[in-house]
Amino acid sequence: MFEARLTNGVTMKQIIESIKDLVKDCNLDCSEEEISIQSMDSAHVSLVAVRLGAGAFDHYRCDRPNALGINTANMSKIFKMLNNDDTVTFKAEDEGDALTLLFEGQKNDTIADFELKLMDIDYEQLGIPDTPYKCSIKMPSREFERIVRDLQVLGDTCTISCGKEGVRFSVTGNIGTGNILTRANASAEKEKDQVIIDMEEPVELNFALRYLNFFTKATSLSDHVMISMSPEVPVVIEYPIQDYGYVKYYLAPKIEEE
Amino acid sequence: MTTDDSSISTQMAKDLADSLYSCEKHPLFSPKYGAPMTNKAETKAVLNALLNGIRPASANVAGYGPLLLSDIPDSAKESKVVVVGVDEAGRGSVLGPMVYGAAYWSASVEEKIPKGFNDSKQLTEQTRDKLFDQLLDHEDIGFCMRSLLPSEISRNMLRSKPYNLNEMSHDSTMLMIRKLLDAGLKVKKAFIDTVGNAYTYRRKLEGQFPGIEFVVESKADAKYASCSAASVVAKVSRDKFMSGWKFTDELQDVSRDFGSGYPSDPKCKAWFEKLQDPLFGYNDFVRFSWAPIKKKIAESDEEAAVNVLFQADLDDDENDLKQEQQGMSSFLSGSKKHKRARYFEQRTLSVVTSLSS
Repeated sequence: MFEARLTNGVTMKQIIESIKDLVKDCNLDCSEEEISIQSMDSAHVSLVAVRLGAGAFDHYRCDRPNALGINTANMSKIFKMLNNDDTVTFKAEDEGDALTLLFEGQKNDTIADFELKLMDIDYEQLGIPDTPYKCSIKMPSREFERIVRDLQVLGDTCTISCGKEGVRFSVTGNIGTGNILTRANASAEKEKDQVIIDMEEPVELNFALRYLNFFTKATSLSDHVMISMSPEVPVVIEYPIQDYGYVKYYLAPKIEEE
Repeated sequence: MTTDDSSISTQMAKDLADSLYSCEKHPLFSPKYGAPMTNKAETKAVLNALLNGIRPASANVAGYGPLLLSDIPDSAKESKVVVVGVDEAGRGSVLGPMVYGAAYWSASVEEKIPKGFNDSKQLTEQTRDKLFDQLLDHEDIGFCMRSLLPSEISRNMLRSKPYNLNEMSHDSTMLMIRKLLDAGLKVKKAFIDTVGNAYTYRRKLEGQFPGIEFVVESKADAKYASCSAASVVAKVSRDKFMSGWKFTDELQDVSRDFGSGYPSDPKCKAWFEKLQDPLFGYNDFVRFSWAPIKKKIAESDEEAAVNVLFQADLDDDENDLKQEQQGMSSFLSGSKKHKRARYFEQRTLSVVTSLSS
């Protein structure tokens, strides 16, 4: 038996929205400690990892680990019917083939329940190497979203270079070039405006803007985003969900040919 | 009709000539490739078949041109010191094969070797032919002939990682020497007309064949009898290959008035310019990889040479800035899946293991 009640139901809606453009089908892996999702996109260029700890729920019970195979587009359709202040309850039998979702409104006494058919998804859990990163950037998620959106008009590939002065996002395309430099300002008045750069050595990597744009779908989950880079390995773009979990995107870099 | 044991039927000669090509496998794995002939009659008949245009169809698209190793003279078989000379013909030609020749004999019979050998380019065609006949009939001289087809040369040079003419030349020389050693000959000294830098070429050969003394010089064919003999083999074979060439494209009535085959020859230039097909370019008698040919096609207008778009080139264009998107799998542990070729991915083709649904 799996049962979990999330007062802040909209968080789950946002999680589904943040992965549905990348991932078509995936498993909701439920364990005693957390609900997690891990999946690669169909092109196997990026990987998304989601974690929502049991602490995020005001009631959480999972008798044995259970993988609930869902279609993200269908899940998203159901969550479209969720009001922003609704509470969500998940229920699934251990050997069941459906996930029950219960939406309870706060103001009135409406209760909506849905049953989503589950499917068997053959997915091999992959180990993500726990490498220390040479650069970590913490910046406002809205700012990152805007930069990615703006630079997309110029080209397909974005060079992210992290140096002492700040983080530079550059694009070279057919119509011209563009550079956006975000300077570190650890002393900003409001915490959510802070740009903090923790750097061991400068790193410069190239990424497909199309994917970065998919990642910014998670912007509403968090005020700030953490970007971690090391040479020649995938970047990690993390949107923390308060203290309970995260949505992390891994994207393999583009490399110069020969 | 002769009933001599050593005679060989035309059909047998053709079949044997066919087997001297190595189209599907690397020559080192083709035991028949460059296996010595058994007697003089066979050598002559097979050589004749080759020079008259015997060529398996697959040789036009893959593999290696023919390698002929003559019957081995008794004196060389028993000799403890065999000297060999190597030379080439048709290297700079834009048409036809490049032919490598080797001639060898036992050091003990050197005085029996005809004195007439000299740089084959300085000899008249008649003298050369006469010398070649002498060489074929001579009981103490053995030879080896390797022909690199024009299609083979083009293929090698136009590969994504080009295999250039110098390397092909070096490899041909080494292949011939290897076959002589395989045939049990105790080759001790080799005179080679150089291709590229003589010193590095010699070092390369010495590395491959310890125990053989190499003399690598330019114009070696004018200085050493074995090298001259080799150059006669190469040059005469090349000339006969040219005149006996069977064009693959039989539908087209191709004139044979191609001159020397060298691009500086106006006859040759006029010949291939007249032949140009808007889609296929030229027939496979022409070395596509040669600069004058590439230039001619590049400079032709749309009517004389149509532009062809290749999917692979389009794919390259998609990767702006020549950057390759890396896959995620290689960074993760426990992943065995490898990325499919882009061709399949773009067409969303997948592997079907069961035909019933």
